[in-house]
Amino acid sequence: MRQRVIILLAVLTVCALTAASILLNSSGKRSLIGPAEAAAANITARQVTSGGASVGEVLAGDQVLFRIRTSAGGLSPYQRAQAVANRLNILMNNSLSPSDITTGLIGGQEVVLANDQVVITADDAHARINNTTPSALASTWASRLQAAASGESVDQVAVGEKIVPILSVGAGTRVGGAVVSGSADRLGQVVAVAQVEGQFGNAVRVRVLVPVSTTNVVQNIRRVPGTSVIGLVDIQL
Amino acid sequence: MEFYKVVALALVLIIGLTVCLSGTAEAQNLIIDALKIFGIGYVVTVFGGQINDFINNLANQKGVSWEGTTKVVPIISVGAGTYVGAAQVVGPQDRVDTVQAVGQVEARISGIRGRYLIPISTKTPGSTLSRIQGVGISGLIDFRI
Repeated sequence: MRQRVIILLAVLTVCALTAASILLNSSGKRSLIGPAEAAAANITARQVTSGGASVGEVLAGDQVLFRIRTSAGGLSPYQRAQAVANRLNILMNNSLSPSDITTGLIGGQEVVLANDQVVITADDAHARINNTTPSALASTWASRLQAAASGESVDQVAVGEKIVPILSVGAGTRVGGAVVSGSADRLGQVVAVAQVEGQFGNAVRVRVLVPVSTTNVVQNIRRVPGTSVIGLVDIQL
Repeated sequence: MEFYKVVALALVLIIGLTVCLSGTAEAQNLIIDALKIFGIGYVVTVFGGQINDFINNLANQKGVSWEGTTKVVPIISVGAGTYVGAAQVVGPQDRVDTVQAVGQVEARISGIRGRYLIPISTKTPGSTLSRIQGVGISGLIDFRI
């Protein structure tokens, strides 16, 4: 009898904890929806003329998220902008938070994703027009969308990438190239990536990669905060 | 078949226990054996913490420190799905916690052959590769058998 009571109490405790956990989770999630919903109602598209060419703009409120300048798949830039705006409105109505917005590669093309659904493709043509790479363009667009979803100013966001030499600390020699990413102001300070080498046992060689603001990495390493390595380039001799 | 499973499990337990009980020097020697038997994924799982500490100490000696937290994860070649090395990633704690691997994608970067290293939240990347924003690469780890 006593055992039955203990078992019953244990079951009731587990049920109560589970219910409390569900309630806490649901209320926690609700707090993420607010800013996204605020932005969701205002995603629109408009057609403007820039440099004599028709451009489609996707807007969050009165802030421009993306400018689409080329036609694709039989759609004009404005029609593409409308399609992106429609897609975003649907996605944002499904409780989209800034962390749901990422970039990715689909079919070899850099894309902006929201809840793993494609929002927009950062194609080669648009990357060329913006003097950047498709990867950097996708990151910039994703950052602008994240800012809009959290109710922040879209125009304060500027993410880019550039290729700099990798310098071996100690010798100071060039040992390759690295792609560095970061905000536009910080990225401007990066002139190289310092490489610090170490050996962990016989089988493991480690290389620390530090974006730096000086090429004199023999005497000091001045790291540029807010930037990081996102790729390597192989220079064939 | 059952016998081999038991033997494999015993080996895993013995190596894991040895690593827990031994210091860094012994761990370094064990890595070669673990690499030969179990591969990079296992080595990163078991020794990743120690390699991460080693890299952070190495950086500290040169006066370099990072904001946020760091972690060592395997590098997986996207397409082939093979483990080709390991990387230390850096970023805010909540984002680094979600990183499971770094996807390596070969591409032409400004006309030069290169490799993008993309922190991802899965060890089985498919056709969709979703980058975890705000996480970068702070170190690379090459294994030699």
